Amino acid sequence: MNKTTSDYELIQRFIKGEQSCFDQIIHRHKNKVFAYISLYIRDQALAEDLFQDTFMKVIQSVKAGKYQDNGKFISWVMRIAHNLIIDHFRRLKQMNTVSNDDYESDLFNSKKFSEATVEDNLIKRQIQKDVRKMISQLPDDQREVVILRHYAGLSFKEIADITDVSINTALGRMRYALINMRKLMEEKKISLTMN
Amino acid sequence: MTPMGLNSTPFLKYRDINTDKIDLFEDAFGLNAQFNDITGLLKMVKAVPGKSLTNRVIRNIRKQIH
Repeated sequence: MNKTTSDYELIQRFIKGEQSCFDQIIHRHKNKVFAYISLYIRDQALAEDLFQDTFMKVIQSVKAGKYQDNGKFISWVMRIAHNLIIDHFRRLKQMNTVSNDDYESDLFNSKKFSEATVEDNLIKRQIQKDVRKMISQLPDDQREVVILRHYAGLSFKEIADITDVSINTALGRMRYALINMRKLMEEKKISLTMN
Repeated sequence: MTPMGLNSTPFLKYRDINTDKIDLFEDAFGLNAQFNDITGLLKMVKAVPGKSLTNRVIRNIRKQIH
């Protein structure tokens, strides 16, 4: 199996009994799916559960013949993840136990900089922490667009489809998110300069 | 003597412009140009599932199938 095998082809082979094809699908898309869920949810344990639930749901839907190939498998998976997140918040709302704690888990694996000094790494970690905080302070709809675009790598067309808004609205939300983040950045004096 | 026109820069055709990795809506909206400082910061953060989580998911999915 090479890297150019399409998602659809892998799914077809999985349906015919090749289990390893779905493993490959998971390896191919896990980073995008996890980034979306974990950055949106923030509770690591819950994010991990939803990450698993997403792929379980994908399996069930694929086996039930609900996936129609249009070359946008990842968008379809993201929509499933999105719906699971919405369902989770709905359940929480019904139970009226929305948590307000400031739980922060260390979800972010820092990029490795082999040449970097200890001090540089400390500064980078601080910047990552600040950026993570900035993202978490955004309103839900803006945060979602930022995550879907920058961490899940979806196009604005795909984001608009998943979140059921027009492309203009998605673009507008992104603009507001970036403006808000710039304000926060200026307030906190975060910069990319490391000296 | 070189004839005129031979040293000029060739015209770029539309099909020569690779837009595969560009979101044209984003580009048209000018988000990258106006907010490259913020998008630069966003790139510093990475959220990836650990190996053990990935293996657990694969294991559980296999269990569900069998």
